[in-house]
Amino acid sequence: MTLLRVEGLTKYFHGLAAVQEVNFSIHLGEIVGLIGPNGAGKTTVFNLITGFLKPTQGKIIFRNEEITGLFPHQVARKGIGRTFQATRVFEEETLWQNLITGCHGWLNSGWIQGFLKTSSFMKEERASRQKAAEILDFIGLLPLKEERAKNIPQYAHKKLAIALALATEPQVLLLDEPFSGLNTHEAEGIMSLIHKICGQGVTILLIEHNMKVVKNLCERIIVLNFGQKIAEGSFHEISQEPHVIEAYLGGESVS
Amino acid sequence: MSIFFQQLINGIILGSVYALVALGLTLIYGILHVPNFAHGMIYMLGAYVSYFLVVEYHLNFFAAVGLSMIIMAGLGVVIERVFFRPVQGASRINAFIVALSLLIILENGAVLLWGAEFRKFPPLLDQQVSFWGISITLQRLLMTVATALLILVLHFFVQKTLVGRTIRAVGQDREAALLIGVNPNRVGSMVFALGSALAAAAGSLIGPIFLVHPHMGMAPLLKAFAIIILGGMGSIPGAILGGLILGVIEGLGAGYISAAYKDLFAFGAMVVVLSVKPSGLFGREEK
Repeated sequence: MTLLRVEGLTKYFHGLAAVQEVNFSIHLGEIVGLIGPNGAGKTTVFNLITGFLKPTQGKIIFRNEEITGLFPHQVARKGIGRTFQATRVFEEETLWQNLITGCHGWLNSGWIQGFLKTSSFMKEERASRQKAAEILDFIGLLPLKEERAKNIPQYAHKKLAIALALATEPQVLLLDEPFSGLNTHEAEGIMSLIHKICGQGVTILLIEHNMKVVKNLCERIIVLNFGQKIAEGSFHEISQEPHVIEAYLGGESVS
Repeated sequence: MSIFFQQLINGIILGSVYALVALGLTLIYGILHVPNFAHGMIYMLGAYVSYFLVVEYHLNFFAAVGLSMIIMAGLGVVIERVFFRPVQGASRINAFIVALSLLIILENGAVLLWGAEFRKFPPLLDQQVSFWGISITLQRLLMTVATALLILVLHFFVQKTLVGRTIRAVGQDREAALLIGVNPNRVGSMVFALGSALAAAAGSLIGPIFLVHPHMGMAPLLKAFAIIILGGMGSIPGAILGGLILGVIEGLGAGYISAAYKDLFAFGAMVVVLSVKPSGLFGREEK
């Protein structure tokens, strides 16, 4: 089943095409890699899908509903979570507060009910506390829950950003270079975390540079170069493509 | 010694009003990064609204203050929606110019509507209270209590409630807040409403002590900017403490040296603090 589809996605910056006529689909339960050289337009694609940028042309369809041009908070509410390359979390708050805020970003009861502490609000409040604890436990950050985000190491910080994205209960999670700056051991930790998240029924689209990681993790790979899609398929398939070898790997063969 | 306590109390009273104005300003700056020069004019308009409610409609003073806060909160929402939201995402200087224009429009609008004359609230609660050799009017005492109460309510609201949590979230990291589904426009309206209500409260509470006139907003506006720079831009505890510090310095300086130099002491303190700690007392270091 197709969960997310982009059609003819195009973005011009001052007359220059950052993304041009890109089409792809993401199916339920997949782990898909989005790769390409620097400046290929990978992060721009993420920004277009999540509403941080408005496409010049093209459509974004999520669960058979067009979401092109929605605002970022609306896209988040539809069920698309994301992380940024530079992790964006609430630095001054503890991990626990981060997650509570994340689970609370939008409740069904309004703020007047929150002020009056109505029973429906209290019920949601309890539910979000439980959810926050569950996510921290799932991610493996429960022991650090009283630490402020700005004081935890980079590896934990990356995990926190993923935890925060999970707080909105996304159906698709977009991860922008989740392994950058991590050592091999830590990268393996994130990899097994991604598998675990996928095992919970969350579909994953990730941007990555490290070919070994992509090879091991992604069932399907989309290759961008100069804003255009130049290949799509399994790692084996794309690594045979002359375009990919030339553009992405500088003429050397991949294995 | 009694002159010390007298001036200390006077300083705290003045400082708590400064803190109230600065709180609104720092809240708006912290969330929307708008230097809201119109804030002092909301303070002035709030005082006028209270004045007319008391003088023309014979409303109880505190009821008038409450109503004025609600009306100014509404005006704050309109100002955010009509003037500041369209320039969001544009260059910072645009919001700066919009704010400056609003200041001029509102101040001159007040002159046009109500004339430049000074207006005086009818005396209310002007009996003296004396203790420990200090004497203050009951009205000043009540004003300080009301201010402290408002600061406490705001603190509770921002720290403990759900809306407060989303406000803090946007203040800390706008992108992260968007990712968890927070609507930044709603937070913008909320912050402008809160800030404007606080400014209206400050203007209304100070009205009976000083006088109401179209230019009454300028001095507190400048002081409030000094305070939020002193306390750290966007910091709530910084605004409260900064306001009190400024008030006390002014009070003591006026008592021991000369009232004519009180602004010199206040801004001198700001310069000294900034030279030692450039991000302000509670400011976060820029990354």
